[in-house]
Amino acid sequence: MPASILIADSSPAMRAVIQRAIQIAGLPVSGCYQAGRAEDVLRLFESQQIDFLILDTHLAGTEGEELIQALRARREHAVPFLVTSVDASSARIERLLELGACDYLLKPFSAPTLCARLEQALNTLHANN
Amino acid sequence: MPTTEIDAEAILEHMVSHTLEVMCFAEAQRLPSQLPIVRPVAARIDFSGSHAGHLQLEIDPAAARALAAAFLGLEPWHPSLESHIQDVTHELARVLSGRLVTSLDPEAPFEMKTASAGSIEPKETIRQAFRLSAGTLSVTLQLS
Repeated sequence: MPASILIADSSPAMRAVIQRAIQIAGLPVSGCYQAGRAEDVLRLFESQQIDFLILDTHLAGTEGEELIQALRARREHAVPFLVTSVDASSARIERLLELGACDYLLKPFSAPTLCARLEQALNTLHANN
Repeated sequence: MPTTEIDAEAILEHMVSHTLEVMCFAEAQRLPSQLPIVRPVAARIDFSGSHAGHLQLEIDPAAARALAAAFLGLEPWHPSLESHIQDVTHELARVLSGRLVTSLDPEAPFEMKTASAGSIEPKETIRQAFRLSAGTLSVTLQLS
């Protein structure tokens, strides 16, 4: 079943590029939402059915880890998420994988790389459901 | 020259070329010295942690427009492009800062902070300039 995706990144251009890449690749996505701030992510999760989150670690308003913990506190089920980041430190990568990130994609990334990793994550999501 | 500065010089040059190629399909040729850029599109990222400081990116307006167009997959004359040029320049600076700082110290997370008035005296300043097809890009890195 196609998934509904939320793209969370403080850069509107990056969000547009990610959404366009997903559309061009023809991934099984029923809808794409966008958020540039942490509070918008939380608001969208409360008002919309979001199946998967693409999260930049330096989203305006919070660090990625804090946002994932806030989402966990508000939801019954864990949110599957893929991390995009400019941070290549082992400390942050380990922390986010421990928090349940299904993948950690370093910026800069190409559209085909993003789509391949996202497709893999969505396949795993569907297999588990 | 401190080891960090040698590392930072090489890493910065590699990251500029790599980032422009992956994000904007642009080839960057290193110039021997910085040239003044008239009314550049600029972005500055301040960071703290094991390597504190800031990175300033300045791009020729025509080159910034071409980079934004390539990143977004739009024609350079597309009417909606103007509103994205500053954002794309800022995103490029963010990518360069984060990847550079976490390459210098792979154990410490990258912490961005709000731009300050430069109260801390920098210990090292690295300046590099690159020729792009539509103009010049310069990057200044200060580590304190």
